[in-house]
Amino acid sequence: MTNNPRKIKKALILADVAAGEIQQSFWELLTKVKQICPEAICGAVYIGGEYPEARETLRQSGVDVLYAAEDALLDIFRPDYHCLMLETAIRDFDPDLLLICATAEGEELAPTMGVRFRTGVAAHCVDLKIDEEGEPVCLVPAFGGKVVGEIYIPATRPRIATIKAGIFSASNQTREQKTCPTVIPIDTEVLKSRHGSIEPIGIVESAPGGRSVDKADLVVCGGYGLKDKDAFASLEKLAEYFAGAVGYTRPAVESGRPENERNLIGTSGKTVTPKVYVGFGVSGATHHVCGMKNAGTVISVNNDPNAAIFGMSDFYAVGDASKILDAMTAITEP
Amino acid sequence: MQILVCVKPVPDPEKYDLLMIDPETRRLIREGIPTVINPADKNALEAALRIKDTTEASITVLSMAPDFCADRIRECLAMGADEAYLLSDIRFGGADTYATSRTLMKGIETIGLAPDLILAGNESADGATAHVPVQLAEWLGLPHIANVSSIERDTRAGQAPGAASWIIHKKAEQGHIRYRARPPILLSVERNSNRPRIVSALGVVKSKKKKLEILRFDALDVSSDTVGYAGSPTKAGALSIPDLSRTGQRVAGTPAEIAAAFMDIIKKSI
Repeated sequence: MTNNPRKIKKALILADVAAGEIQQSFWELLTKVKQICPEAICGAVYIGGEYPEARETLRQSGVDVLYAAEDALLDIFRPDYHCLMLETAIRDFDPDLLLICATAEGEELAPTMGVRFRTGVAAHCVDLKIDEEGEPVCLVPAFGGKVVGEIYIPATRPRIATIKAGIFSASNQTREQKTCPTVIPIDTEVLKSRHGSIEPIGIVESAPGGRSVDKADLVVCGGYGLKDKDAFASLEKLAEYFAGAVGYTRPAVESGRPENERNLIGTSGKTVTPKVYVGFGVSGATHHVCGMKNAGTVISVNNDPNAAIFGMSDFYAVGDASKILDAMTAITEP
Repeated sequence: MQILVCVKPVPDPEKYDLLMIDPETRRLIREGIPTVINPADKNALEAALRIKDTTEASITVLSMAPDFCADRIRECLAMGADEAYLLSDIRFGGADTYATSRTLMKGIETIGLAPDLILAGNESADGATAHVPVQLAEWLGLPHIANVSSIERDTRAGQAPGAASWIIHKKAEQGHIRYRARPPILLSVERNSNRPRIVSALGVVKSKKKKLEILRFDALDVSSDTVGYAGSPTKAGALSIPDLSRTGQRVAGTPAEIAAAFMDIIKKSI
């Protein structure tokens, strides 16, 4: 088996780091690599501005190799620059497997690498495993998560996979200081001589909209059946009481009730795994369920006795979602 | 200005709950689910039409799909696009995003287009990979920006009309990134970033006289091992429909009683 061509000898992870902060998804991907190919040489790539602390944390994260493209020019995502830096790291490391977090940036980087390296990309994997033959297989959702399909990338390297944050679980392990790798710098000078046709001119921050759903133990979710805008204020109150967060479905966003779509849950939004999920007026459409199906306890309220969400709930009530929500917020008030 | 809009006919995303897997063949049963233009692609077409509303521009629509989708492509002409090409051949079937984007590139070469702007929906409703637009740009050697939520003209003074640049908003984790971008460039347009216009009766009449050309395998400079399933580096294995069912214990009573029961469950579970 030592010469098994399918075996992953080298795995590379693009570290998801936002403004110097290493995102949880990096630990999730690292944990997965250690699980499925513990013998592989594991590398990480950092591309961004100069944040020595983040770089040091990555160096001690348990990886065997760390590439870093650090430059103020890379502080704001630029597709042309970031793709070139990642391409450089891949050419040098020559991995069999490349994992990228499916952020807005990662979703642009992964397919680009697919063409540049003439290889396949599996998008938004919900699992990654090694089959009986020793071949890596990605499980990817299609049709809004209604269907899950296996994807193999048998003949080309690296096999590329993107994974949304929150899909895998993480166990943070740091290694002994003395065994940490030295950082391999990626030359950023080359960027200065490139006059690309894309120039970032600023960032428009979204309005802060309460706690983020990906880190909360309780997620209360508003669906299309939660009729008025006031109900979303009640959701905030209820979430606040438990230090939880408010999420919503795509139809709720389209009806314009939540302020923005930062906490949209589902195929085109976030994947959440809170200890408790409570859906108010959520129908249970595939696109949404795909993003919350791994929650600990699922509670739902809908006035439609045949709502699909009931079959995917641990506890449910048939009734007016706004009224039950208001009765719950009333309990939180002293 | 020459604008190319790439579209994909997909099974109507409103009906995905009806999808089933044939227990014997293990293949997907799509019967009874109509085909529609992918929602985000309509946003891309609308973005192109809005440019054409105020500027001299021609819009070409390109798609790779079976012949039965021609009517859907004609809808794009009825919305206001000028001409359309459909890449359709049994040999194109089973293509992953890599082979699809490469075939689209070959179609563009064959037609002889050199668009200033290529627009496509950010992702399709069925596969939802968001790969094809970006990969098409890579094959063409063009810069790309994905997750685009707005496209505006750069109104700085002193710009030569031919070299006009665009102000692009890209949806990002922290909000939006603004870019100044010069053509030629490919932009993947976010779903719901605008409201696609309704097709008018006049639009339908006009669309019947517009060019909709079907290009087969033989028309493109491709070999059979670079298209369809054969040309795809990803290979599909088994399909399954995940079982998401839970025990589903119903809580009955007045709103206040239900609320009290749910509050207890939450407290015990977090």
